Amino acid sequence: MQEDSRALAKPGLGGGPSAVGERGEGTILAENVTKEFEGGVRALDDVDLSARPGEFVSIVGPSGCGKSTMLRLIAGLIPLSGGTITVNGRQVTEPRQDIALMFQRPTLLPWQTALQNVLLPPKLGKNLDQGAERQAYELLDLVGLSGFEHTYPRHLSGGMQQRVALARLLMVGVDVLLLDEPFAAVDQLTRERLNLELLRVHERLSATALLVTHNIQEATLLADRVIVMTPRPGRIADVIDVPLPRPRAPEMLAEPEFQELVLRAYSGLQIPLVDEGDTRQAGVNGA
Amino acid sequence: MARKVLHALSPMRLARRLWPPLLFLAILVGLWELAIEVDYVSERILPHPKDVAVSFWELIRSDFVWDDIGATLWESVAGFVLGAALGLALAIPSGLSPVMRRMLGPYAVALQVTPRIAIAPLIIAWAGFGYSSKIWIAAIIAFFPVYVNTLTGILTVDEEAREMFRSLGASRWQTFQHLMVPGSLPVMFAGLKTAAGLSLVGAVVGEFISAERGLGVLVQQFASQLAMADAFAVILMLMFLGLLLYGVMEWLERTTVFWLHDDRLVARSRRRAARAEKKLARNGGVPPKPRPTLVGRR
Amino acid sequence: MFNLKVVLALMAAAIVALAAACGGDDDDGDGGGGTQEVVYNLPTPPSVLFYPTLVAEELGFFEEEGVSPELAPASEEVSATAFLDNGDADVSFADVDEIILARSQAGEHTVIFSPQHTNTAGIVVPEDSDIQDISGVAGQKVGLESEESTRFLDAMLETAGVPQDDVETAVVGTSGGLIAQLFEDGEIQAYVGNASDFVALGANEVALRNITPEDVGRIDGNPMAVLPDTLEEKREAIVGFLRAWTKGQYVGQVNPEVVEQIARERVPEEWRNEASGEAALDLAISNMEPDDPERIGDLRPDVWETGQDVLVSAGVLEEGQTIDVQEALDDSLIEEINDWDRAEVEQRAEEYAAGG
Repeated sequence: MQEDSRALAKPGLGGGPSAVGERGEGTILAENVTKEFEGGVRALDDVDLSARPGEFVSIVGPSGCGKSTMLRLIAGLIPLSGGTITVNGRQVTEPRQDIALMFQRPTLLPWQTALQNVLLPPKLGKNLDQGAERQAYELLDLVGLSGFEHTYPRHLSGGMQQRVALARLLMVGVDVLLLDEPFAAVDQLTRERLNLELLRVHERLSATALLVTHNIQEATLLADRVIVMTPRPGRIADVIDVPLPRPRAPEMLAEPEFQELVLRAYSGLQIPLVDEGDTRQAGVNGA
Repeated sequence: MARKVLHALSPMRLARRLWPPLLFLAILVGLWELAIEVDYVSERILPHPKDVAVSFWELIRSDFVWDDIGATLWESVAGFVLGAALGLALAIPSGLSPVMRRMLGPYAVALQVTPRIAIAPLIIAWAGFGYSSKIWIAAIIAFFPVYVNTLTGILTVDEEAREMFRSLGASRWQTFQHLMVPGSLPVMFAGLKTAAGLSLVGAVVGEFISAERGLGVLVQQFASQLAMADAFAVILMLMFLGLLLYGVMEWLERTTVFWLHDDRLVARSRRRAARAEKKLARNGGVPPKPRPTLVGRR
Repeated sequence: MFNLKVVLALMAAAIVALAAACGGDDDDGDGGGGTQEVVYNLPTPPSVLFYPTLVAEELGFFEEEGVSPELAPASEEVSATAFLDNGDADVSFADVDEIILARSQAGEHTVIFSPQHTNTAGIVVPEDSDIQDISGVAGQKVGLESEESTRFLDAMLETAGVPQDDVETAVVGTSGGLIAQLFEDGEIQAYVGNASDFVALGANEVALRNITPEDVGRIDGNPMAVLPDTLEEKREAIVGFLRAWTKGQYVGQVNPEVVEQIARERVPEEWRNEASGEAALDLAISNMEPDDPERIGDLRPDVWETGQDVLVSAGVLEEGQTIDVQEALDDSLIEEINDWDRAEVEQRAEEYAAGG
């Protein structure tokens, strides 16, 4: 648990919280989105979704509700079957440099140091310069990894690897962050800590974030808005505003207001609270 | 570094590491001697270990054996390089294009299941009597493990990592260069190591069939002359040659696929950190200034 | 990490370079300095058994003839005539049966020179064996040097009237130690192989007796074949090559010590076992003793007739497929090949022995 000892949010990160928001970018707008896979499986059916600049939106739902598909569509990784998706005012047709997607696993390159991994986006974008390098150092510092810049992933813990992945994500661009169960592969304690860190980073950067998870408490604690999806075909069942004040803290889990929101999300999922081991367990143990 | 080497070479450590294989060697030599002693095998077929050692010493001090060693080494190495290069040259397009894979796959498998040694006499008849026929035999035998392992390596590159590259807008060449190649290196090297050993087999088989020089020729000559100790000594040389080839590949693997070896990783981490520090010092010792904004880079 | 484009380019270059080098090393051409290259095929690597080339190289006979010889060694697995067919050799020291069979299948292989007037192949039994001649192997187990020897054994059995099925065979290879052991253990009662293997055994206290039928034993070992086109094209070089060869062969007949000296120098691996080396030298010199010292390498049509008869009676060659032996042999070059000064060669050998 080396990451515990490292101070997290250090002051002095340039730009200020409003740097993005001022330009009015960071919007996500998805209208009538439909996705059908080969063989006629309808993963998404007429889904509308939007996010304001700087907003943190969570999508929850059981496996197969199309939430990951939604994220990949927004990232431009797979083609749409119907509808339109617009990010930052431009329609998405292919992977774009201003949309960053974070995966469940850190997917670091084992032959590159933490710093090199973070520098991958500018390297692929052919704008690897000293400025980028400085930014990478800063971001590693931001995620609490200063001192580990030249360490290889093999010698980093799972949580630390995820932080590197997060730093790499922030390197791409901070307008729109797409997070696909980003900490699913680390243990529960680390995951909670990383979630809070994610919040901190998000608040500092004022980026728009779209988080996909099957953990309702996690989704609620982090987000301004929770979108509840149901499977077969994937549809939006409910959209819940989370009026809790920021910054968020783990203690809020105990507040009645929070409990109410979680219960509403459960009813949206139409999942009985006693049965269906998998989802329930994730919900109860979550956050 | 020097301290580490000294530590590794300290007599106690050496003794601890070396006694198990040495003990086994002693048992083996003992059984060998015993077999001759009780006339289980004739000395004509199995010479005394001591005679083999003497032969080995005499041979490596003679001039002629080095020509043979050189011939066999050249055939193996050239065969290995040729086979490996062909393996890579076919595996890479096969790995990247399903059409190529379907086109080449059946023939690669057909070549694999054919006992390739059976092709050797034909290759001699086709490629002639010089080094080239031996090199081709070695190459054909060395080809397959490289082809299959490289293909496997490319095909098993992490799907999520590919998606990540795509999401970062990487070109096909960039994905190939920065992800496919390094990602498939570990599996590829396993194939290369196998191939290095097999190329020696191929060279010796070729020499058995037709050659002017080479350790394979020597084994046959010595055997037919009843110089069995010499024949065994040549086999020992072949073993050392095999070990040499394996060792070189092992070293190459450790250097290239450094990320699978802790000691290498630590050393590289240190080097990179030191270099970064120097760079910092060159820039006036001031820690890098933050950029004015963290706005997305477009 | 590393420059992949450079690595790929180097790899491509390596393939091209190696493939080119491998494809092209049997290209013909001048050996440089005005000498002409003659590629010759022998059934072994350089060996005292074919001492004439060793001597000719060492004493400079090839140079005198303006010939640069190159050896294309083969073994049992590749037929010697194939080397001529695919252009890997200009001249080839083949077997009588190989040449007859090749010609019976419309091959044009022509024999112009035959240095050995005894058969290098034969059949042996232990000295103390009850088997007195080839007919004695009926009901016995015979070890073969290679699968190819089956043909030879069948032919010999046929001449003695022993049905092939009466003899059990096993391919045992050429390892002297193994053959001796097999004799000792009674695994085999006779062995068919090359004289060079017998003498190695004999020299190492495994006493053997040769029971090869006399007429088969007389058949030439390693007659030299060439294709007519090659002969026409390279006549001068081939004659030069053979002239140098006969000079070397002659040295062995008049001054065997020089041959030994040269062999020890050139093929030290054959002298690791002194007894085997000596025996091989003696064998080679006696094998290459010419009937007429003025016509070294002369052709003997009668042994070819015998060879063909043996092949026919063994069923290897059908009656209708026989060849005209006279057509296969061309002794018109023998005189030219032998046209050199004996005394001068003798003197050269003596000078060499004296340390010249």
